Amino acid sequence: MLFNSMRFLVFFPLACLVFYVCPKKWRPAYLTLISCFFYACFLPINLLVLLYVGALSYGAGRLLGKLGQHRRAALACALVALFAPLCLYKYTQFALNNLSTLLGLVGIGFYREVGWIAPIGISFFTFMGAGYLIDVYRGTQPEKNVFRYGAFITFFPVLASGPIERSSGLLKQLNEDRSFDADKVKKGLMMMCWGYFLKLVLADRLSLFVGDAFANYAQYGFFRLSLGAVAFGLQLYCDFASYSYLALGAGEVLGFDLIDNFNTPYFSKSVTEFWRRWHISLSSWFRDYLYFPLGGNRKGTLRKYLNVMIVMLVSGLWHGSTWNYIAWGGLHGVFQITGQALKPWRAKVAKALHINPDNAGNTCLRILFTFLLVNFAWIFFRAPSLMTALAYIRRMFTVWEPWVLVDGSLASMGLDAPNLAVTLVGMLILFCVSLCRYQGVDLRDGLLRQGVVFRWTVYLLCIFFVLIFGIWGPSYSASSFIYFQF
Amino acid sequence: MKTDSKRITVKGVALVLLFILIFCALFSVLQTIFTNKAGRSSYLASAYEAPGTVDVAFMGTSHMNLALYPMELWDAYGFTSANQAQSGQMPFVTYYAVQEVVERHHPKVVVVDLYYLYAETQTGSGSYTHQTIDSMTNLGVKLRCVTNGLPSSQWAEYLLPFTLYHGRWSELSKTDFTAPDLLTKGATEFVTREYSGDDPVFEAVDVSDALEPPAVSLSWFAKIADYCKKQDTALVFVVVPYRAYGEEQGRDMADDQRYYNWMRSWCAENDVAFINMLDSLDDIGFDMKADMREWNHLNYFGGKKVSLWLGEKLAETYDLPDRRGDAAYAAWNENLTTYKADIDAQIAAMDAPDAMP
Repeated sequence: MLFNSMRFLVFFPLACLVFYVCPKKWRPAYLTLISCFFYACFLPINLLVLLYVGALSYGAGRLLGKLGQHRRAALACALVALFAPLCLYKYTQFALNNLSTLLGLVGIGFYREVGWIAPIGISFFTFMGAGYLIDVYRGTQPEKNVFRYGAFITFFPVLASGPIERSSGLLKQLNEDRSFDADKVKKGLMMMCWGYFLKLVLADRLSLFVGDAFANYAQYGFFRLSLGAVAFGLQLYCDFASYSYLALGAGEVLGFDLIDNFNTPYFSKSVTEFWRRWHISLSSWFRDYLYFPLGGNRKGTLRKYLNVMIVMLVSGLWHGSTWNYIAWGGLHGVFQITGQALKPWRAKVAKALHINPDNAGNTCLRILFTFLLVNFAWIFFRAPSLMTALAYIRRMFTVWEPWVLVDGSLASMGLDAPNLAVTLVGMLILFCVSLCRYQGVDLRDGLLRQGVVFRWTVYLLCIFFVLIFGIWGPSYSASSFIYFQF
Repeated sequence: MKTDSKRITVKGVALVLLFILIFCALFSVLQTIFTNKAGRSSYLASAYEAPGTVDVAFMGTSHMNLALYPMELWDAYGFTSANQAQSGQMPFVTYYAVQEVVERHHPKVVVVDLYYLYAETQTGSGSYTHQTIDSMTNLGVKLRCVTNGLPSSQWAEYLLPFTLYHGRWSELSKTDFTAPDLLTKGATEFVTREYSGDDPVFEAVDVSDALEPPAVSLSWFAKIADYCKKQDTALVFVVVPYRAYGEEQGRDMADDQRYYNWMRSWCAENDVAFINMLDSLDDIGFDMKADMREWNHLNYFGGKKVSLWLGEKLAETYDLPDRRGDAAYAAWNENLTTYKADIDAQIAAMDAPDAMP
C-alpha cells in the first residue's frame, strides 16, 4: 500500500481513529497488526520475511540480554542470519552477474537469472533490526514485550522507505505513555501534505523531464543533460524526502516523533555536510554501526579516509546492487576525502588572499559547488549502468548546444510549457520553505498560532494545490479524450 | 483502562466535521469545473427542463444524436423532446440513461436506437463512457450504472471524476465555467451538403434473413424494454439510416441488418414497438448521398427528414400533445426563433461563394 494510493487514504484515517479509541495497553498489538496488514497489501508472501526479521531480532535481543559470555559470537550469528534474506534478495543476481563476467574472461559461458524481487523495505527493516541488536549488545535493555517490539520493527509509516528507526527513538516512545495531542495531529497532517506536495507536484513531474533526458541522452548536449542531471537531483530529493515526510507526518498523527531524515541537504557547504543532512537515519546508522567500529577518525588520517571510503562504498551497495551505485558511493567517498584533505590548503589560500570563507558570497559559492558535485554524482545513480553513466557524461562535456535554452527545446523534454511553469513555481515554494527551515523558522508552529479562518484557508489552498497540480489518479490526456470522432 | 477518548472533545470533533464539510463543498465545485464537458450539451438536454415536461426522449448512440431534432419536432408537431443520445454509448449506459430521464420526466415515449446491437462486450471506449456518466445528475442512477456496469477498479474515476480530470488545469476554458448550450435540445446538427467521399453502398438484406445478436447487448436492450414496461412508458426501438462500412470498420453491415431482423421478431414477441428506417428509405425520401454527413451519420438535411417522418408517426401513435400555444412552454417558442435563425445562418454560410468546402 503506497502512501499516494487511494487505499492508503482510506486505511490511514481509519487506522488512526481506531488507534486513539483503542485502550493504550493494546496499542502496540494493534499497531503490529495493522502494520502487518499494511505490508501484506504489497505482496502477502513477503510478510514472512518481515516476520522472520522481526522474530529473529526479538529473540536474539532477548538472548543477548541474558547471555553472560559469547555475546560477540551470538551477535555475529544473529547478524548473519538477519542479513541473509537481504543479501539473498538484493545481491545474489549481482554476484551471479559478476561471476558470469569473470568466467566469460576465461572463456566459460555462464549466466543465471534468479528473478528474485526484493520485498519492499527489506533494507530498512533489516537495518532497524540489526541496529537494535547492536544496541542490545552494547548495553541497551532488550524489549521484552513482543507486541511492543513488533510495533517497532513493523511500524507501518517507516516500513517501506524509512526512516531507519532506532531503539533509542521509536522503541523508547512505544514504552512511554503518550496521549492524544490535537496540535501534534495537525502538525502531522501538515507534514503529510508537504510530503504529498513534494511527491505528486514535484517529484513525479520532474521524473518526466529526467526520464526524457536519460532516455535520449545520445541526442542531447551539455545544457539538456546538465539540466537532466540537476532535475534528477531535485526529483530524487523530492521523491525520497516526500516518503520521509509522509512517514514523519503519519507518525506524528499517531503521536510519535520519528527521525528527521532530510535537513535541507542541498544547502550543504561540503559533501561531508551533505551526508549529515541527506538520509540522516541511514548516514547515522552507518556512522554508529560501521564507521565508529572501523575506528572512525581515531586511528589516524589515512585510516579515517579508508573508513570514509568503506562506508560510502557500502552505502552505494545498500542503495543498489549494480556497479553504478558502487561508483556513485565511491565518488562521494572521493569528494569527501578530497574535501577534507584540501581543507588546510583552502584555509591557507583564503588567509593569503584575505578571503572570509564564511561570508555570504563564499557560503553561496560553496553551497553551489557542493550542489553541482552531488548532482554530477547522481548521474551514476540514475543511469541504468556504469557505461551509460560514462556515455552520458562524455556527451554532456562534448556537445555544446546553448540555443536549446531559448528555442523551446526544453518544453519538449517530457514536460510542456504549462507543466514546466508549475515545476518552476513548485521549486520556488520548495526553496522558500527550505530556506525557512535552514534559518530555523518552523512554519508549522507559525501557522498553528494563526486564527482558524487563516489556518483553514491555508490548509485548503495547500490541499487543493496538491490535488489539482499533483500527478495522481488514472492518467488523463486530452488527446485520448477527443470526443465526437464518431 | 486508559484511552484518549476524554481528550477528544465534542468541539474538536465538530470542527473536524465542519472542515471536512467545507472541503467536500469546494471539492464538489472544483469537480464540476474540471470535469470534461464534451458530452454535456447532449446529455443534459432534459436535465435543464422542468421535471415532467419532456414528452419524448431520444436515447442511444451518435446515430440517434445526429438524426432526431427536438426543435424541428416542436416546430412541426408541438410536442417536447430531448435528444440525450451520445457518441459511443454502450447499451448498459443507455439503460441507466433511460432510467435517469424516466425518473425525472416520465416521458410518454422513449426512443432508443439499436445501432450497438452488434456490441460483443459490455464496456466500450472509456472516453465515450465518461462522456455520458460524467454528465449524469441523478446520483442514484449514476451509482447503479457505475457499480453494475464497470469493473470496481474504475469506480473511483467515474464516481469522483476529479481523480481523472484534475490534470485538465491547463486546458480549462470558458465552457468549463458556463452552462451548456441547449439550443438544439441535445441534438447535434451538422449543416453540410452531401457526403463527398466514396459512392454510397447500401444493400438491403431480406427481412427473413435474421441472426441473433450478441447476448451481452441483447440483454441490456431487454432490460430497457423491461424497465419501460414497469414504468408504463412506451418504448420504441429504432434503426436510423446509415450506409455500408468502410473497410476500416472491419464489419459487415449485412450482419447488422440480420440482427435488426431478428430484433423485429423479438420486439413483436415482447410487445415493443420497432422501426427500422433502413426499410423505409423511399417513404422517408432519404437520399443516401445527399443526406449523409459521412458514411455513418446524417447531416442536417437528412436528420430533418428523419425527424419529421418519425415525429409524425410518434405524434399519431402515442397521441402526443401540441403544446405550441401553451403559455407554460413559451420558452420553447422563443428558443425556436433563435434556433431557426441559427440554422438559416449556417445554411447561408455554407452556401456562400467563399465558403470552405
